[in-house]
Amino acid sequence: MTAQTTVDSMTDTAVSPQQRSDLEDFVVLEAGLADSGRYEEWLGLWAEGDIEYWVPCNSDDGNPASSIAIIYDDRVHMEERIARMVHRFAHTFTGEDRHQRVVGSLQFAQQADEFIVRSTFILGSLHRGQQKVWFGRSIHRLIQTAEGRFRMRAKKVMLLNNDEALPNILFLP
Amino acid sequence: MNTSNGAVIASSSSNVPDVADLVFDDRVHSRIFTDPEIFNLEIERIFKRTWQFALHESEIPNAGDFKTFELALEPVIAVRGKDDSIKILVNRCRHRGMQVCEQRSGNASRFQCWYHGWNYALDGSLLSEVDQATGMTQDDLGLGQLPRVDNYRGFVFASFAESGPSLEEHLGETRRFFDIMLDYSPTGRVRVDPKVVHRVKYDGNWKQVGMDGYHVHFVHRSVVDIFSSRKEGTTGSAVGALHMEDPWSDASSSRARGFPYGHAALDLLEQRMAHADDYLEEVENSPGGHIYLEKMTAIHGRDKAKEMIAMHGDPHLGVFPNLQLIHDHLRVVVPISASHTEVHMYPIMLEDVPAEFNTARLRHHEDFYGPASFGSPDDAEIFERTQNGLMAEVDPWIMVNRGLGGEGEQHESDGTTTGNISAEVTQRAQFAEWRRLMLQH
Repeated sequence: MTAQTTVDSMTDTAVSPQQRSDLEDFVVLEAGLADSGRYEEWLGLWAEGDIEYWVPCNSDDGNPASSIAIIYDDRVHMEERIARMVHRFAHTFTGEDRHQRVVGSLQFAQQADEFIVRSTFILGSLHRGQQKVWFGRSIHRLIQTAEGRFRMRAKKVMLLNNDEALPNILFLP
Repeated sequence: MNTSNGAVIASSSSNVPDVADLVFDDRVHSRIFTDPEIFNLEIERIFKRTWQFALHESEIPNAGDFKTFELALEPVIAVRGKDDSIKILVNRCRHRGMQVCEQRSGNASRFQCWYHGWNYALDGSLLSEVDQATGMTQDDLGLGQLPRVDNYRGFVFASFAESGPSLEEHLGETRRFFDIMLDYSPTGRVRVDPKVVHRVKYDGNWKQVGMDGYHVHFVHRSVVDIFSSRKEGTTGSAVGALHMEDPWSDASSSRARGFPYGHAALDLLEQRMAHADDYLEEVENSPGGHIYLEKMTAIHGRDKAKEMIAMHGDPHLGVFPNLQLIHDHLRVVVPISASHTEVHMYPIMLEDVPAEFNTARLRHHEDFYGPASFGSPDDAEIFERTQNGLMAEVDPWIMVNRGLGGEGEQHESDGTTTGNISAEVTQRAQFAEWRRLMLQH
């Protein structure tokens, strides 16, 4: 039995150890910026051109053309979202909320010019004295710039409870 | 009494206050929002008596289709029978009380209880044999069902009470507001998918949701600002529906409207019609909009089609106690406790329109409604903070007197009362019906 037949089919051994390390650093960095409210820097992690930020609703898949999403942003809508999260009259965002997630179970693959990272997360979100816990998994699709930096072309986040009644989502999934 | 994080503190009074002392024309007592005993009375006297919205018929189109949910805290199954009728069955096995149907929605040929295997037909009748020694027969043991189920153009309502005003009487003048939403679809019919829904929850009372024209400039100010920079030709008071002038100003021709039986509307229709040409142009240039306009013109003629496009199919209507038709969705208010509520928002799909026209409606819906949208989270936040504030009993009266008896208030010939858009006409209509039902016992 070779090493390849025992490897989980979602992980591609063509991604080198150095790339895996750099990709993991990226995903951890991205989560940290989102959780600490450094939203402008988080925006800077997205690639040029068409991008997609998708948090499905009611199921992990489904077609956005015929179903609603919790988040389904292109760049324009994403920038509006960030503008709202820091807007002084957006009452939901008190500026005192704290969020912190643990990212894990990382798996790496490469498809054409994209690096795919699958991960899971547990996230704590503290708002007006109440702490709520969220679970989910993410799929990052990343490209590498000429300078060798990773940038997001797409991010899909599947919340464990995306078909349940949800309180306000105060973090960036 | 519950605090907003669920802790229970001793109530200062062990008696249920006399409901007649809690609601007046101009003010209501905050205890009607916070007291669990009053909440229990509301379930008995309001939700188990009047007509409640159950579901839209398009959610269960074929024989055997079903959907489970709660009405007045009771688990029910809405099911389409082989005879095409819709019944609201009680989701409780007649043997030992187990919930018979576990799935949220689907299709079944019968319902089987997984406890002792009792089987029920789609009409609720018991199929399984009954032990003869009990002296009971199958006829004694069918699933319970709500005695009155009726339908206005696809909107299915049900009542736990065997008698009372007909649905037609109950809906009254609101029916022409339903028509506005329905006739925006070329076929006059709309489609709702039970699997396409935003469900949200907040730690506040069910009576807080909706029908408030006064709050928009304040609660949704961030959205007004952001939408302002979006497109030329709108003021930014778009808040989910592109407006050509600010519809939330008392200087506009928008009206807050109260109906008998507790219904209420934020009537933006006249204000919209003044800008019909702009709306027409906007729809013409939208994805699938040209074809949609052609269809509507062919069906209704140019002038009527223009009027309907201006109204956007948005009645902005609240049907007491648990249904609202707002913008592109139908919204069900689900009371869970005095301080906990769910709101389920189902986008409305139009029939016989280009797919991209419906897709655009989904994206517009996501803009303002949903747990990560730009609009409804601020409402939920305000409701939770209000529920906290209402714990203070130093002065327990909630003011609903804005515009009462003022110049802007008019009693219309159709039995409705209107006021400026920020007037609390809508709250007064709702509380008048609340009082009427709560005092009947």
